[in-house]
Amino acid sequence: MKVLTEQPVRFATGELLPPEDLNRVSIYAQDVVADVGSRRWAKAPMLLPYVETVGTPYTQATAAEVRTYRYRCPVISVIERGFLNANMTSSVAPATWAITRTTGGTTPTGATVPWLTTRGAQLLTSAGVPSVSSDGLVSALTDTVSNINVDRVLLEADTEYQILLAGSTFSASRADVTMHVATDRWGMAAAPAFAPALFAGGSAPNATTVAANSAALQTEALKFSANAALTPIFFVRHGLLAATSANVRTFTIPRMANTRGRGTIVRIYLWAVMAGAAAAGAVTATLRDSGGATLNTITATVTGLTFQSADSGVISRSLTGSVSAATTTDDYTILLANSSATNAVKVYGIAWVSWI
Amino acid sequence: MTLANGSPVITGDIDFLVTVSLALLQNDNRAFPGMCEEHFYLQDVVAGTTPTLRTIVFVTPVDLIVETVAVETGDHTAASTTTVAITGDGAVTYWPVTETGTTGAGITKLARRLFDNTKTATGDAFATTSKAFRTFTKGSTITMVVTTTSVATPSLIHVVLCWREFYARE
Repeated sequence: MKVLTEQPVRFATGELLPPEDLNRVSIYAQDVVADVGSRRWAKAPMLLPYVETVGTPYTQATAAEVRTYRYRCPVISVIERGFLNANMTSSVAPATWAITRTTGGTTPTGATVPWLTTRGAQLLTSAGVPSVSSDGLVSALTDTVSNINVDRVLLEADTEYQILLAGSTFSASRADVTMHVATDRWGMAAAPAFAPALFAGGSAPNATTVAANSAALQTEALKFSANAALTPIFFVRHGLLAATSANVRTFTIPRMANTRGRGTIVRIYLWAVMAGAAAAGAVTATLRDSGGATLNTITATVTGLTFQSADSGVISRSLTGSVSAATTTDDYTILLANSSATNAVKVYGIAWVSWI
Repeated sequence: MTLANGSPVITGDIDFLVTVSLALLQNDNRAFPGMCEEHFYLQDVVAGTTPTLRTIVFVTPVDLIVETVAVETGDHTAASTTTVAITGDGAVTYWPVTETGTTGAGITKLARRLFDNTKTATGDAFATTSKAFRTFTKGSTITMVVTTTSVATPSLIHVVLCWREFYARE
């Protein structure tokens, strides 16, 4: 980062400027654009709970789709780091997590195989005693298994990925995978850059060049108002029946006062994993305002299916409220529902928010 | 700004360049600060649930300023108490955050605090102010432990961390 120490030229009205002074102004503007433009990454952790329901561990016998979380982002995103915090009550061989493209099964750029694993993971007992696991890891309920991957994984825009927990023999009573997700304001393309034409000392007046520089600066400056990077809101419900109490399938989304932060929900992805070939019906995620009125409904029709996904498409729902997030009256909610007679073993989704 | 080639560039022309274009950058309020919400869901946590099964640990990817912590429960035992305790390493200021309240049937939203450094009384030290700024520094390990006296299932504890962050350079 360049520290900007020089100020623009100070001059009196009517003064004619030498080329050197014009250059100083242009270079200052160039540095400002570079400085502001380099602040481009919005970063957020997103926690994927692989075992949500206490007392129902995941094993190798758990259906593959249940052991999978899918991910999708409308813009290019980067997983900067992955963290595993788990409790493996039985593991003959390592349990692993792998990231692949849903279509084609290929590994995205930067992802190691496996991405996370209990092999070589750190085991931290409740007494705070660390050790490192080899193949096979059994931890007591009071222990935590942790693993970290700091390789950057580049994920393409609007492309679905799978993060699958696998292993030959394991039992996880909990397994939280936290991803550091980063999106940038310009979709990984070049940030705004102002490259002015500079004058050589003693050169003749050239108003055309000055005008061109000014126009170029304005073009670059205008780019800043157009883009905001996205952060995810993740929601999940393990076990969803038509009769499931609304009180355990309604999720609050606090809204911010416009003096504190302004956000807009721009896309919602939904995934539904059924217990078997589902009876007629659908799994829905309904975004509602503070009064309970429906704003958007994302529907995954599951008739005859064990798995279905849905995409809201481009939406625009403001998260700006009239009061701060400390006031509950302005909250939005997401209500999950399952109209089929088949249990939805896992329903989850990601709402992407653009913040200004 | 209209110039003909060969004409002198006067101060007014430079003023335009600085005040108009650079002003666009100055008014780029998308840059700072941004916001983020992090949602955590704990299903069927009851009194006596093993601590590791009601503990969430995550690492912050960037410097964050906590705006508020929203806690709500679904279908808990009447007159139960639910507590969310958040601590972090990394030498953060004015830690920990503890939100607690009475929960029960239906959806219960615990009272929220806006961490805006508002003092309860003029003479209070910031360190003793319940609304003192809470910060997560980049790379901090944040541990969230949920405790409840509820014994009802199915149930839900939903914790939302709302924070302000700044765009990162890297």
